[in-house]
Amino acid sequence: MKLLIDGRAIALEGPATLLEAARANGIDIPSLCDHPWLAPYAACRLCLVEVKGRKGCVPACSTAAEEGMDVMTSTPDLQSLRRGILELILAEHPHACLICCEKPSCDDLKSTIRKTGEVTGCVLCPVNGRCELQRVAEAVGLDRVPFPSHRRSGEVRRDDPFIDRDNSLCILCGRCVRVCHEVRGASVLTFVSRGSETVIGTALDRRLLDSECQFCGACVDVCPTGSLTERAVRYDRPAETETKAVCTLCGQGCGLCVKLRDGRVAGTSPDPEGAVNRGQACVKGRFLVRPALIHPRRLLKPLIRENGELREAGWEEALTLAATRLAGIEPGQISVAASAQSSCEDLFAVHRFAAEALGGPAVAGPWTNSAAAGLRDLGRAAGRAVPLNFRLSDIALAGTIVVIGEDLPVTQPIVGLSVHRAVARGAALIRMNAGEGLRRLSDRLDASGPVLILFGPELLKRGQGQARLAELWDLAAPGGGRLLALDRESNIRGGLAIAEAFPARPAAKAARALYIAGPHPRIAPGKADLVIVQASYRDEHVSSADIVFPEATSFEAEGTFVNIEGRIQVSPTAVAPPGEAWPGWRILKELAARLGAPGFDFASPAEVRIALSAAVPPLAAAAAGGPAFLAEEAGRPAPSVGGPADERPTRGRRLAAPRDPDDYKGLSLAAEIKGLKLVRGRRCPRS
Amino acid sequence: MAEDKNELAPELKEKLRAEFEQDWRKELRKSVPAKERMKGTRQKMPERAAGERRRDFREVNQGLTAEMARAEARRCLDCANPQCVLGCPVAIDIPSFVKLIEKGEFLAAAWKLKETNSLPAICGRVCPQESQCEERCAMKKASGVPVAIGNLERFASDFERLSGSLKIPPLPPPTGKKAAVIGAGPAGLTVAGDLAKLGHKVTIFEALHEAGGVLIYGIPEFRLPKAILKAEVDYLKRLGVEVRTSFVVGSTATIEDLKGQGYAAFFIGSGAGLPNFMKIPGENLVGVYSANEYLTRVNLMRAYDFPAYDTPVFRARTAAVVGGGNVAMDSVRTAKRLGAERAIIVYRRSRVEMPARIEEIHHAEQEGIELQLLTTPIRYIGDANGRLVAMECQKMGLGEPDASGRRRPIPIEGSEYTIEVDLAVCAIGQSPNPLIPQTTPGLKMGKWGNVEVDWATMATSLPGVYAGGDIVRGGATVILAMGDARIAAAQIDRFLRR
Amino acid sequence: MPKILTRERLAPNLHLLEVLAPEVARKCRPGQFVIVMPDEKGERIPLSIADWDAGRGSVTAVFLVVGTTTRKLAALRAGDELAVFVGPLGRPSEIGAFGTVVLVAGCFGIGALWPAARALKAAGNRVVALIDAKTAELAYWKDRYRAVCDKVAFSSRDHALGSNGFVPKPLENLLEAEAPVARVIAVGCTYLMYASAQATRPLGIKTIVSLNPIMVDGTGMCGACRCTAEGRTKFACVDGPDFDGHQVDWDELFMRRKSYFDDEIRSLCRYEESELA
Repeated sequence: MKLLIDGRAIALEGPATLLEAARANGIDIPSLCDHPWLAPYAACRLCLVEVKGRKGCVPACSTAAEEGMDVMTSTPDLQSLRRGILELILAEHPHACLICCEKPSCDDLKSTIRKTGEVTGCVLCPVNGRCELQRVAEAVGLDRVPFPSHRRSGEVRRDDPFIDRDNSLCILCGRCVRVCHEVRGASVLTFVSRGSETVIGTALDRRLLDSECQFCGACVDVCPTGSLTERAVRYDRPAETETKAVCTLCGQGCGLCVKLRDGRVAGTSPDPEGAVNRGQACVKGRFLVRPALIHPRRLLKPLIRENGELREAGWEEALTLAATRLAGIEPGQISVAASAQSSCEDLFAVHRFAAEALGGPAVAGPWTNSAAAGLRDLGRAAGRAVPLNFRLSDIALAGTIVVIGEDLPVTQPIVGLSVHRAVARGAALIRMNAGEGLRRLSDRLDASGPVLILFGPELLKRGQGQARLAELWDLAAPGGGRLLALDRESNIRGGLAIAEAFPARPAAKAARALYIAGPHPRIAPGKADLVIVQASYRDEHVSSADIVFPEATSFEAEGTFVNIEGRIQVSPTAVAPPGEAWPGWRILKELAARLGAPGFDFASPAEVRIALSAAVPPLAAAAAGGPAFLAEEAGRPAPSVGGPADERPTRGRRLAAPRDPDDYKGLSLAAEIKGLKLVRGRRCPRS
Repeated sequence: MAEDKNELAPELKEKLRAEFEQDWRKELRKSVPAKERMKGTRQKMPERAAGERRRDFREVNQGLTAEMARAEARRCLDCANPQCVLGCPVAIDIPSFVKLIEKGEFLAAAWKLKETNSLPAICGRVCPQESQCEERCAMKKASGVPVAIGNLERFASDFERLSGSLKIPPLPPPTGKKAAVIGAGPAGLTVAGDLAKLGHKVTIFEALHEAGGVLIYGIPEFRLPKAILKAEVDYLKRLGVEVRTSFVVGSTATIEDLKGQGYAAFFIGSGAGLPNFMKIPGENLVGVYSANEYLTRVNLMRAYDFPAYDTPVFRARTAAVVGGGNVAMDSVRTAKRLGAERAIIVYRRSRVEMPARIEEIHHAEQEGIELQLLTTPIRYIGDANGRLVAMECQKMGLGEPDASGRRRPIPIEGSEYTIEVDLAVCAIGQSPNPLIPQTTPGLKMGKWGNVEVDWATMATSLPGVYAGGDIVRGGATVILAMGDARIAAAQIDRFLRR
Repeated sequence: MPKILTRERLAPNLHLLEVLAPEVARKCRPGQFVIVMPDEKGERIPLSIADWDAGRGSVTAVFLVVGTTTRKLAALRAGDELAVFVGPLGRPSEIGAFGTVVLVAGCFGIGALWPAARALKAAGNRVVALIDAKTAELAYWKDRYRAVCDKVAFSSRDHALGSNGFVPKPLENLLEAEAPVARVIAVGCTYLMYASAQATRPLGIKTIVSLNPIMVDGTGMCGACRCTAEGRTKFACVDGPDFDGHQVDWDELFMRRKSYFDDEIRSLCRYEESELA
């Protein structure tokens, strides 16, 4: 359709509000309560525009563009109106600095005073320079506020982890209330009281911890002022650059914007264009990346055990020692374990290393008993194709959703958002524990509409896991429904695909040496002659190791991860690794070189990917770049990995016991980071 | 002066003789012939390995074991005319305490020490014994290696402290006289202890919030653990001394005011708390510290434990410390422990002229400190934010000796060069703190801000007011302060009893 | 350890602390400060003395909450104890019969200048006060000033107090109206003192400022508080805190006050974390 805005001819493809139409064409109409994620609200009235032929003005955010409209966005009357509205908003928001002519020079010199207890002006405000209210005031143009200033009441609320709430800066735009309700489905924040007494708050003015808040940070992201802020970063100077990366703290693979300053991570926020999460995040990806990367338990240097104690060493010394000692142990006596939180490049290197340098022991990993493996094996056992790939957005279209054994807000929060959307559209939701019998389920299932059954590794933990999975399949498949495997680690799918590409070998019976690049059952002291660990954090494995190699995390080393959807995503290096930590593949490359093993001449992650794609066809899309999914299997009998599904070696079963959902490469976030400890530690009804 | 001795005072000689003649001493001397004793090698003080100790603030020297102490004590010849005592600024009866150690009576040795030295655990650690008692040791003359008197002093006093059997000497009846000691540094603590043992009521007024003066703010934890200082101060309190911290004489009250509160005599031990700067361009850049500030932040305010303790200190990658004395050594070793990749000493003379203790220089080099000798900074260079980024230096040559007896440094033209540093500590010396002199009318001052005294009595120009330590000498040593304190205490006692 | 008698929020982000310290109270003079340390792990910070009562034995200071230590102080209540409260430190302000004296006070400076206002009035001066406050709420102790000053004017961005901008213009107007002015004393945040000195420089009016660098011991022993005044390095704690505002190297002071920016943030974040649940 065509319309006129400020005399310009604008062509629109589909339906749009006047505000969207104007912004898409470079015409800035100020607004404060509007937000792309939220339904139009028309509360602040800053976006009022004149439409020829209509009386008065209309809010551009909630007026649909129509063919032939003639819109004026900036007449003198409108400008005066906007100034008036802004003056009213500012009468209750500290505005002295906004209208002070000294602001620029004062700003320059006052940088340390952002750490105030209460904000009395822009230069003392933590969001100075990144405040939407400031931008609007500048755009509208303001040099005085004719009303006496009134300070909104209440102390700054600092009694919750991660988020500070400052009522004195709130302009009651309602974005936080709306995002919490419309997008997150939690409805934690609401308008309390009426008229001039209105404040934003929780029910009964409880702490966020005592309400159903999951600390996703969406309210902080949408707040236009400094009223809702992330405590850990509010006093820091603004970030200098931003890199988009993939979050690897769980299996969903959300897109994150990693903010950097002085070469260090200054915080993370969800990527509005993230394919998986579309601007939403969870407490871990939003608030815990920085504390995890700088945690005191980070391993910074290689360590060698000498006289019973671990001491720091250089890479050369540690690698040479490891190679020498490994060379002295027979192939069948070495056991290798890897992590499903490692990138495809790192995992590929582990498998190749085991094959070429260590004489071919099996690489044990948590993918063996994962939900995805269970689903795959289901297909193979029946000789038919069971699709593993899906899109989170598909969940929102389901008719009935069954969630088995997964506390979605904790383990898969973004999946939880899709479930919420489905329920909002009328889908039925059934929650079950992993151990519950399935008989009652079939009774409860609605025949009208496909059933989506979401399950995690808990279901397979108990005996008869595969049988129960088959039962579930029989319930869902006939009606066109599906089973969705929700694993916890960031790269279970990648790990599975890579493990398949390497021929099956029997696991070592009584290993004399252990190469551990991931979770492994506790090693009894004295059981193994040599323990080499590749890890990012000091944990129980490190305490019993003979040689330790410090590994970079996914944010510090480019790597490919395949999420629960089967989506292949490449995450770049966002920040340099601390100390002397190296990417996993590089450690193995150097070790292989010293052991004279072939097949490791890659000089960059890109080159590893090329070798990876050649060896693991389902990941071939990784080398090509661009959004791609893991190639699905056509129905075919499974190559046996040590025998039929339920006869896997008991070792494997113990190995893949589902880990703490808040574990990150050996660091238990819920135990180590106080904020998360408080969030997880409360007894709160599931939302 | 306390240290100008070539001859022991007659009473002291008699006392030493009396101890020497005791039966147990005679037996002990007979038990091991001198020739045997001379065969022994000096026990090496166990030290923590440099690679490990340079990362934390725990004490470097670990102390002799009992066996080592007795073996070392056996090396002492128990001279009839002990020269070591002459070398000690407070004239400790060294042979007595050493022989008590040999005998295995460690507590008695500690008590013997405490008869003359109220802070033996401290002196055992920080005194420059190598230029005092050990310099004159007969064993040194005979075999080249003196008896490790300092290490033995440390051993005995640590033993007493750790044994938990702290002995309070019987105190005489109270004299009813009040004395005010200004400053809880080595001088003040010594005067307080001595006067308390003579029955007077002593109050120490200390400006900082912890007692110890340079012992708490200047000497790092890795040379003098604060627990030891606390034990010494607690001992004084058990002798009846009152310690009032956060009390600045000169501001909170003047000497005149205190007279009005009944204090009859005063000892000024307010120390050399005025940092000297070089007055070169850039000295006020962020990142340039006086040694006093740097050490106070780290030692007194425990900035090495930031953020558990709130006070920060800049942790540099490359730290340069200007100076060659013990304060400079302490500063540069602290910088290393705070994580500096390079910690450099910049000193304008050569190594032999460095006033620091040999042991400290030795420890510093083990820990990886670099020495840039015959070098002096001429200016500091900063970036646009006023932060230090580099230091321009000039090489020096050595000319004729100056007033201090050391060869005079002469700049070499055209030898300027720049080192990249992000921390510079100016440790070129301290001057007396001006606060008391400024607020005490009638107190005669010397030309560089020191309080003038009669060296025989440590009396100032004001009757009843005595002084000692750095306020009188400029930056000097702990033991010299104690020596002054010893004399002053005796004089104050006489003054109070007249 | 010194006990708190009162701790009160006088204005947003600004608090009053009254401490029982009889010896200090007996000696206080206008323009002096105390060094405060809230607990044994705390930092030593200088606070300007705003009032004292020798009879009651109390000393009063006002402070802005700008970091960990002031946050801790703001959380104290009557009956709590401070680890350190030492003073009075610094050279007292010069009080004499000068003629007309204009006092420029902002933030904590309103409290800090009040003893000088009182003393100058008692010494026979015509005392005119210009109180700067961003909003009406931030102008505290108006009654006290009105009680001792011949005139009290305001500079503010708040309509209720007269929206006539930040200090320089109102100060110029006042100086003109009150001419001849013998001296100006400006106490408040560094920017306010700097701007006041800049405003009076072309008029050649002697302007005294009370410098506020970072301090550690406060008795002249460490040199942390060194600034350049009259072309030489001075220690604000023993040579000041009052200095001739036209002879101060302001750039150096601004930069030195930012010395520990990142550490201060880290410390505050840690404190907030420790205060959680």
